[in-house]
Amino acid sequence: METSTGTDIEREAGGASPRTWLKRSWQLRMGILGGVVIAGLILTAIFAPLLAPRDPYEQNIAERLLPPSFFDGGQSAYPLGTDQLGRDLLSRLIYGSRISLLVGLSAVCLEVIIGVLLGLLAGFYGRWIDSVISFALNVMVSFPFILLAMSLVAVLGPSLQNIIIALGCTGWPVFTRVTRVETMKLKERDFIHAATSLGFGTRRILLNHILPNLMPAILVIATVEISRAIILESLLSFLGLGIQPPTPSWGVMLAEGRDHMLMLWWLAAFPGAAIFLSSLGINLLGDAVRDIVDPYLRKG
Amino acid sequence: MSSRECAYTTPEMGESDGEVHEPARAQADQERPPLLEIQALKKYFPIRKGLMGKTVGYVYAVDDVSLKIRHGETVGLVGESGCGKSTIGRCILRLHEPTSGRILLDGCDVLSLKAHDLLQIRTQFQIIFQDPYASLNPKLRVRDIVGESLRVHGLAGRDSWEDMVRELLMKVGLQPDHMRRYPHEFSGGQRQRIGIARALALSPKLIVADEPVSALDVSIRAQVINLLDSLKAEYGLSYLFISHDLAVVEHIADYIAVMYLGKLVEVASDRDLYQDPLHPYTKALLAAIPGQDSMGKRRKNNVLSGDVPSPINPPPGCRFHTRCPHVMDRCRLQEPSLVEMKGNHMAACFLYD
Repeated sequence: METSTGTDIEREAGGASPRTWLKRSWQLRMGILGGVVIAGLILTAIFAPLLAPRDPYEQNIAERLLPPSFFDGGQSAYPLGTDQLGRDLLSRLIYGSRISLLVGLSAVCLEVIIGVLLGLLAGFYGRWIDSVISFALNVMVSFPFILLAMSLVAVLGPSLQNIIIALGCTGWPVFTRVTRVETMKLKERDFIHAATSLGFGTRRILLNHILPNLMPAILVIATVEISRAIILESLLSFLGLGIQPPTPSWGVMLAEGRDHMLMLWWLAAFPGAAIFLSSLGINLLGDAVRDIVDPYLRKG
Repeated sequence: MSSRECAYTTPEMGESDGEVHEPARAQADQERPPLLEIQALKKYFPIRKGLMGKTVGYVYAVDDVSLKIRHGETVGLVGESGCGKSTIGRCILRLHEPTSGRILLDGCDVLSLKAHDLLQIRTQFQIIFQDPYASLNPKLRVRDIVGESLRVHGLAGRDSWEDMVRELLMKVGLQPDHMRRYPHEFSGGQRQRIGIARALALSPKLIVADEPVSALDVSIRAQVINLLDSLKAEYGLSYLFISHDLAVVEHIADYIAVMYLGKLVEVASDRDLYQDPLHPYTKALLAAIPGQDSMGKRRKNNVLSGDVPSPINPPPGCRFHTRCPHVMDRCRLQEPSLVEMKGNHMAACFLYD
């Protein structure tokens, strides 16, 4: 055998300088931090009924607008206080994680399906198919998102399902862009020519030979898109176009807390912090995922 | 419209075990038709510019090339880089759509085939690529790289395809347990062997070997060439062996076609070409082989100067006249055609008129 021919190109300087090592280890720590935050979010969403001290819909007018238990006048029965209808804020936050995760994941799934499919077709076939898809993409990108989402929700009516559809139908261009360009590059590679000359059909080439090579890039964008979807769901809900009260969504809670922002700041601050933390966690995790799947950063 | 009905069968596996496949066909003419016949093949790549993609010119990559490959024969296609030799190989496989011309595989016009028939006939010709790092899908295991075509074309059952892959790997000098690995775990030579196994899986009749050893270490080249040579006998293959190096082709080719700037300048049998090259370009290529040439003496003053002219704007007349040591006035005006000089030895040069 000729294993030791040395034809393998030394693709990367293997020896890590102290600085790169520091950078890598910093990124790794941040990635782990993000992973912990996200794992916490997912566990919270799954075990919400066990974790929440109370029913998130239970109103108690007598005990409305209570401060958190660690402030003066707070009650230990309501760790983060109550809102204007006397509902337990902590329980609503915990249940809110379900909405955020559900919307984030489903919307991004929809985005990936639409975006990647269009990107594969545009990149592989080129010509007029590419022109049509690229035009649609540019129209989508240049259209103000809020206007588009508002009109979609106005037509479909505000509901969890329609929020997901609205987000999915507006978020796909990112995936199309990346998929299109990568497909264009890949289709000129010899291993795709080889697949063609083996007599494989276009569908097989696209799905079995090109798509697996795009997965790292898609995965990285997907993580960022999940946090975008979570923020946008909050935004739409805040504007009254998304999840409707009394469903506990972080955006709805933020909107409800707005009226009391000056005096009872925690009503808005806690849902805001939840949105911030979860999207930060997802972004940190996404960065770490990119470092892991990027062959130029990964060590041998 | 003389191409007859394209009646082909998927290559039969198992029993006949890759002897010279072709069942004797009732042919009107005595001589068996060549396996592959290229007739007046042209491939011009348009150069587009501007917003509207207006075509401002063409790259004349392949300009009127005709070539035959008989059953069981290896034809070497030699020329400098950029002369269009790889384009010919890719046109045969319809990885490029030729501008014009005909490509007959066993008398069947490959270029007129519709999508479905094309998928079927693709089993009969395969390609081995130059760069073993670009030619294997990094996301697939060796098992799937080699065996996917067996499953797709229904040549092997659910249980037997892995055995066939194992057998193919052993045929090309790899271990059966390499099946589960990914391409990046192999060296260049091993990767090229995987590429060969992939091409062999469908028991093709013709393999286009597009510079199969150019990217390999010199120590590995001979191994791969010998492997190709032994597989040829075993599977009854024919090769179109594309190379820029006459020294490599010498070992494997029965016939050699020399190409310059999109045109064939000389076609001859292996021995004729080395012993008695006619075209000045062929002579220059032979002289460029380091060390002693095949006649035991050093040819002098025959190393070409200058670069190959651009195929976008090829010189008028004989395309070689800008670099030819024997250039005559006539060469600058007229274009010599490829004519038979001696028995089966063709050249395109006015020197022998």
